Amino acid sequence: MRRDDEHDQDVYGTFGVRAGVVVLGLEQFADAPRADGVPVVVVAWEPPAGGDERLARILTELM
Amino acid sequence: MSAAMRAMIRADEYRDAGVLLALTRHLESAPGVRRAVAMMATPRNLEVLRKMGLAPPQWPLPPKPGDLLVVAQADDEPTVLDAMKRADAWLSSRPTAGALVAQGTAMDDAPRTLAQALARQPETHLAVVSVPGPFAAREARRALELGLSVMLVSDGVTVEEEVSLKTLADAHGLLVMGPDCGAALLDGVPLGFATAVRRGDIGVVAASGTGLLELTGLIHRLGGGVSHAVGAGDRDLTEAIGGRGTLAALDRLAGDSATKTLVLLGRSCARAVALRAAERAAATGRPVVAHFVGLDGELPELPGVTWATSIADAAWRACEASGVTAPPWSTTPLGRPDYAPSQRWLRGLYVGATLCAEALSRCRHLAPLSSNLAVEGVTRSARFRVAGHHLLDLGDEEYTRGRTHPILDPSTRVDAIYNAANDEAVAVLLFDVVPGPSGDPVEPLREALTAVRERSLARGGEISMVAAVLGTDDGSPRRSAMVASLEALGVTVTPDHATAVEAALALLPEGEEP
Repeated sequence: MRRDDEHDQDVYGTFGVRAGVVVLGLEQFADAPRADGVPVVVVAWEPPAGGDERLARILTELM
Repeated sequence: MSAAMRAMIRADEYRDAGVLLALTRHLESAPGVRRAVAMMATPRNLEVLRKMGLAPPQWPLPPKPGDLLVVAQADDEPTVLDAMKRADAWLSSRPTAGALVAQGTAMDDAPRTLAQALARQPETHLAVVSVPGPFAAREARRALELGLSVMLVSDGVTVEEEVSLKTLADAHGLLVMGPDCGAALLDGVPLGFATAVRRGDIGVVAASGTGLLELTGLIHRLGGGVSHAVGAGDRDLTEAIGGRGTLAALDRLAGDSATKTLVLLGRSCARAVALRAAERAAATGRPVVAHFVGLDGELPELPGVTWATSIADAAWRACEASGVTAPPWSTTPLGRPDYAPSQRWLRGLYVGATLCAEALSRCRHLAPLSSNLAVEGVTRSARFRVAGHHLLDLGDEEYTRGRTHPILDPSTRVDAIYNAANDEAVAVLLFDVVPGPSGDPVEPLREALTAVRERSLARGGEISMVAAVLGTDDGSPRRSAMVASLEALGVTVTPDHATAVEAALALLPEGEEP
């Protein structure tokens, strides 16, 4: 588990957002940070459990 | 003329809401196509399809939740068949990452999981999660476990999941913004629906999307600047969540040397939780401006805390505290048009929940008053047409099932505006305009707003239209351009939302105004 330390805050800002953002879901949400010069990685996300919401919740509870 | 309908199932093919919306628009752009829908075959979406009258009497195979559905309705059989072919070609030209890997035609290039994304970009501190609600909590938890703070744009996350996520974040010194957090500005970076605003020394913690956008946009237009604007989530200041997100954000801002003034903006607040948050803000030693939309009852004096009376008032007071003085905006007195005797009611059609809540709190003296938002003393109704003054938050979950938020997909609001255009009892139409990542938000409303004007004039009594326009001239599209487009359509645009509500009230026919 990594935490925001003081070094990161100096370099990347209080919230460390300038260090990079990962986008899961709507790809449009990558546009604004990218346009601001922030490195963005978009995850090619697909629903687990074949999109079965009920099964996905059960799996989450088991995690 | 009777319509022809066809449906297609693409098994085990996931597409996100943005792609599905783009496909729907692609199909509907063809002449003769009346309606098209592309959605994942979840049980909820199948129900939505049935209610829309677009569910075929029988599926070739029963659809599974991981299947993609495309349904089109057109004037005739050749047109609908052509729509299906075009859907197939459009999707096939955009293979999913999974399909590319399965075919062996691509290396596993795009990361498929958060862990893979982090391996590629190990310095990352934040995950922006907007996957469908039922899966969102699971991905947010993964992100926290990997040491990332989370902006959770998705709705459909339960209260229990939210508490669990925020507790985990607290334990690791991380932040969870949301769920239903549409906008944030961190380290000057616009996230979600946020648009760029001037950087400055005002730190904001707000419930979520449109309230945060109205506040930060106004600060910018008044000449002030924003250090960070954190979205805590709509429910954060309720008893159940206990302000966990807000308190964590305040602690983070307390350690930020760039933040000299704090603004707290909430809605759906429990009084005790809201006061605790205001006290925590004051304990940072910075001047605090706070406004909790809809929180009734007198608020106690708290040292260092100034209570604002609206979101706009909070922006003015924050700028004042930050040493920025702006001349008051000039307002032009509005002339009431000649209404037909049938015209009586105010109809509010919002995409922003906080703005809708603010309008409701300023219209409480109107009767009868109804809304789809749960507010004490206000009749609950989600229907478009109600006899009485009626304010709707069209971003609420009941309207977004099976489709994306109206900031991205304006179709629900367009339908609601046409409904108002055809309603001879509507006197004043009030709405918000929120720039999103999908381009100019006025353009999709143009025809419907023209219909409001033309149809009401044809009935012998013009409907007054009033809008609050968010954004700034630094954003895209520029606010001044959106204002000019609306004014050309006969819409009155005010400098801020609270003034829009006042203008709408002043325009109500005699006997209905306060």
